[in-house]
Amino acid sequence: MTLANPPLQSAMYELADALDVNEFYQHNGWTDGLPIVPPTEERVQEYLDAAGLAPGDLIGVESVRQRPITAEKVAINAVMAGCLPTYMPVVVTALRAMCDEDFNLHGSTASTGGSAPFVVVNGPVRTAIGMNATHGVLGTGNRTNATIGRAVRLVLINVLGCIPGQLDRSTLGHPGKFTFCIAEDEEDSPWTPLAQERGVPAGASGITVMASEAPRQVMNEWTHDPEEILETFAAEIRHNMLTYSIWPGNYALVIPKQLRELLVAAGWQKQNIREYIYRAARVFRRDWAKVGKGQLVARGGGPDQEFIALRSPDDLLVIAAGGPAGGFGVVIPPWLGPRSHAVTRTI
Amino acid sequence: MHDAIAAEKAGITATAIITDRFAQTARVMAQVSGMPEYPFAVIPHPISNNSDAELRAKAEDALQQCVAILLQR
Amino acid sequence: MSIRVLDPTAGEVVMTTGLVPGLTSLAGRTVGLLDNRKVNVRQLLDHVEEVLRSRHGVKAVIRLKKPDASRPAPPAVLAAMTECDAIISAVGD
Repeated sequence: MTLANPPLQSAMYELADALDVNEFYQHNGWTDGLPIVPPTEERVQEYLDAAGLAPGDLIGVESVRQRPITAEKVAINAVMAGCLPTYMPVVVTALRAMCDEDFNLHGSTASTGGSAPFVVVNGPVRTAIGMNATHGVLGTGNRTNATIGRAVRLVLINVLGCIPGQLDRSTLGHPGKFTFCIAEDEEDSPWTPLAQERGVPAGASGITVMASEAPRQVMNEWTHDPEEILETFAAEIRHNMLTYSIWPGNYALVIPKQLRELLVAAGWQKQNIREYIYRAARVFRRDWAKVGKGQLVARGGGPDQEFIALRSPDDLLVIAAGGPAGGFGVVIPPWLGPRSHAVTRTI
Repeated sequence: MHDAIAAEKAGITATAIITDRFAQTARVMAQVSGMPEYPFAVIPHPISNNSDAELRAKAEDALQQCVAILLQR
Repeated sequence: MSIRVLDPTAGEVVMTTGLVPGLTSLAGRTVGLLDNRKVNVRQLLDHVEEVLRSRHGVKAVIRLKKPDASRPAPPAVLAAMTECDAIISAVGD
């Protein structure tokens, strides 16, 4: 450590070994329930250096409870999550984006609705740090994907006090709360990367974060017609509107290679997909009768009142990712459409 | 809860009606806001599916608690 | 051999502040009722208002609504609250 490094401010604990550290942190409620990597002074400093940050640098402020998120705390939690130092810029950018007013960090993380921040990474950083955009992209097996998402969650727990039964009032939550971070498959897709569509300069790296419910998998292997394929996705969105939440907002579609190739072969770009889903993802008030919510049919604008999933086609985030085999796709619904919006930031 | 505390910090006597499922959360919010002893009224959860008669009963109970809080400091 | 590790939490940063002194009576006072717009809160506060008027002799009841239950009350609502002698916020968080 050189004289140029400002000192770290966090309290320090001395324990016998890494296993004892883990038990201590578990006992204090400082983990997500899984084991953590001990955040030593040396490691934390290394992670700050990798991000070019001083310990006291302010990453963002959760504006409702006025809670600051400092670089030092992000580095500590990133070490704990199992990140490598080179992942820090992605973790930091994701948290910065979540502090944007549009994301509604307090509301989305405290709500009974149980949302998790879904992070999509674009640009050269993906390959530089070894992210996965293909096989099992929404599951396990890649350190980078897993630990970036986990670092974000540990910051929510430890810096913002987002603890189940306390400030985190999620009734159920979902497994995405452990980690929910993917890379887009830019190499095997002719489509414009998500971050670039949302304002990040071409060739730069960026992230998009969306307060999300659990992924809903669909499958269609019975057609080559793009509208029929997208109708399956639209049906899943409509189902979510009726069974979970009617409110319009961002939805995300993750489209793996098999279905993507059919759409591309038919000349469909992401904009075509957005426009189709914007028109198709609609339900009527009377549809609630089919899902046990008949009491709602006579209310509001009456049985023929129409509801839309997207306020505009731009609300739909289309992401190319997933393995090569199988006509699968995923719909990721929003926590609560009007109350939180996806935010994109350049890294 | 947050709004009641904001009012209190602005110098206006305030309290909140909380349902019992959220009471623990409310106490934590009060603590992190620097008012760990902040008093609030508690009514049974839920209210979203209550009949008008049930709401009336809960309103009376809540108001009785609120009045005691607002008058006794 | 031992290992020294850092605290990952934000820690206690807030100074404790005291409560505003209470009122001696609600009679002749203006009470603000803040509605967070969740289901049935309006109806609950309708009953609260009715009891305040009929049994507590308040001078006025001001009904305020938050545009968004998941965010704090905006400045316009907070400003309206300062017209009141006491506030009751309902229901939930």
